[in-house]
Parts: sequence; C-alpha cells; structure tokens
Amino acid sequence: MADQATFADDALPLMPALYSAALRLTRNPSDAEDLVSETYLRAYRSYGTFTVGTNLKAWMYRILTNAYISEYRRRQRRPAETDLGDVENLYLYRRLGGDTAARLGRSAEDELASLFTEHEVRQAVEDLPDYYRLPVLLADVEGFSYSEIAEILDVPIGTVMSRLHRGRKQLHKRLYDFAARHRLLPQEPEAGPDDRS
Amino acid sequence: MACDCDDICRDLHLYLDGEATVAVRTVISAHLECCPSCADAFHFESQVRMAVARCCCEEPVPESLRVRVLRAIYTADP
Repeated sequence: MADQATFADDALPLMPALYSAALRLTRNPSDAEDLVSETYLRAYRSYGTFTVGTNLKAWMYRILTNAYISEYRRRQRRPAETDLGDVENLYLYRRLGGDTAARLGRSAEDELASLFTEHEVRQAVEDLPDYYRLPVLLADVEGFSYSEIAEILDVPIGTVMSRLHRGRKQLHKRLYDFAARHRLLPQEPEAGPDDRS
Repeated sequence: MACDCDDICRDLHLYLDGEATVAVRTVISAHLECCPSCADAFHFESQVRMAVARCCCEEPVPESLRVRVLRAIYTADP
C-alpha cells in the first residue's frame, strides 16, 4: 500500500507525459490543465489503494482516462463507435513510401519530414475519435503493452488490438490527406500508380 | 521459394508492437532478411510511429499547473 506522504515525489515526474496526453485528448491547454489537475487530485485521494512496486504510470493513466471520460467527453457529442470506412493495410506506405519515396530517392524518414509538419501529425492524432485516439496514444506515444492498455481502458485485449489497428489506419489516411492537400499529391489515389505529368 | 508477403504484413503491427510470439517473430525476421519490399514497408511503418511519438510526447508543463497541482494536493483532505 502506497503512502500519501510520498505521492508528490512519486507522481510529479509523470506530469509532462500526462499533460501531453491531456493536450491530445482535450485538444486545448486550458482543459488539459484542468484534466491533469483533476487526475492528480483523484490519484492523491486514492493513493492508498495503489500497490507499491506495480506500474504507477499505468495507474495514473487509468485515472486520467477515467477523468477524461467522465468530465470532458460528456460535453462533446459522443458518436457511436463506427468504422470510418475501412482503410487498406499499408495505406500510407503504398501511397508514399513506395512511389514518392523511391522517386525522390530519399529514406522514409526524410520523406516523412518533408510531407507533414509536426503540427499536422498532432492534428491527425487529435482528429481521431476517442475510441481510436486513446489506444493509439497509449501504444505509440507512451509505449504501453496491449495488456496494460486493456487494463487502463478497461476493455478486453482483442478490443485494444482491433481499435489500435483501425486507429492507426485512420491516422495514416489523415496524414495522407494532409500530404495530398499541401504537397499536391493526387487527392483520390486509385489503382493507376505512375501518373507523372 | 516465394514468401507470403500478405501474411507477413498482416502481423506487422504485432511485430512492431513487440507483441508477436517468438515463433511469429522468428518467421517475420527471417522473411524481412530475404524480402526487401516487406523490409521497406516495416521500416516505413516504424518511422511513422516514431514521428507520431516524437510529435506528441512531453510538451513543457506550465509552471502554473505544477503549482496548482501541488497546492491541490497539500490542501486536499486525505
């Protein structure tokens, strides 16, 4: 059982990560600050139930997620969980990594940096609906395992896997849309691959 | 012998997430050694993830938030 007296020392180092996640969830700094503050207060009050030696970061994220769902998501219209149109596997790679990268003779890394700004990548993440955004953030930004994410979000592992998979595909689709809009790539790419004019 | 690239790419996320079983990991690693096109795809996917992580991680915490949290904790009823 954890001691409340050590809470600040134990939990404050996690604030930058929690604040960043809160920004991606609430999409604005003022709500993100409220969410982080609420998370710490809830965590402090129930710190006695935290088992020392287990994963404090995952425990804090679970509180953050619950606080977000109860306090903030309630304000928004909550769409039913639907597949936003299926996106094929390797969508972005097949659009960019294959043709464009090869044509420009660059590495995938340089290619990416030249196609999206950091702001656009953040925007693409923020545009995901909650049920995709949460698992994508937890896995790809925070590096939690499937089982940790299942515990944080209180859903079965199979649900984590399918949401992650679909969420990443939607994210890639969105990134392609940004690249297409700003870099004059084909807007509605269909089969015909090599359309240089 | 032709490798089954579709099967390999279906497990791409499990592999990159470090959640594939040892057996699956071994098969994929061996395939990536001999198939440059799948190796490119895997490399690209991992670069996208790294870009997402880089763009979304650890933004500076406003000092006012730190103060607010500390104040809330020290004045909260236990």
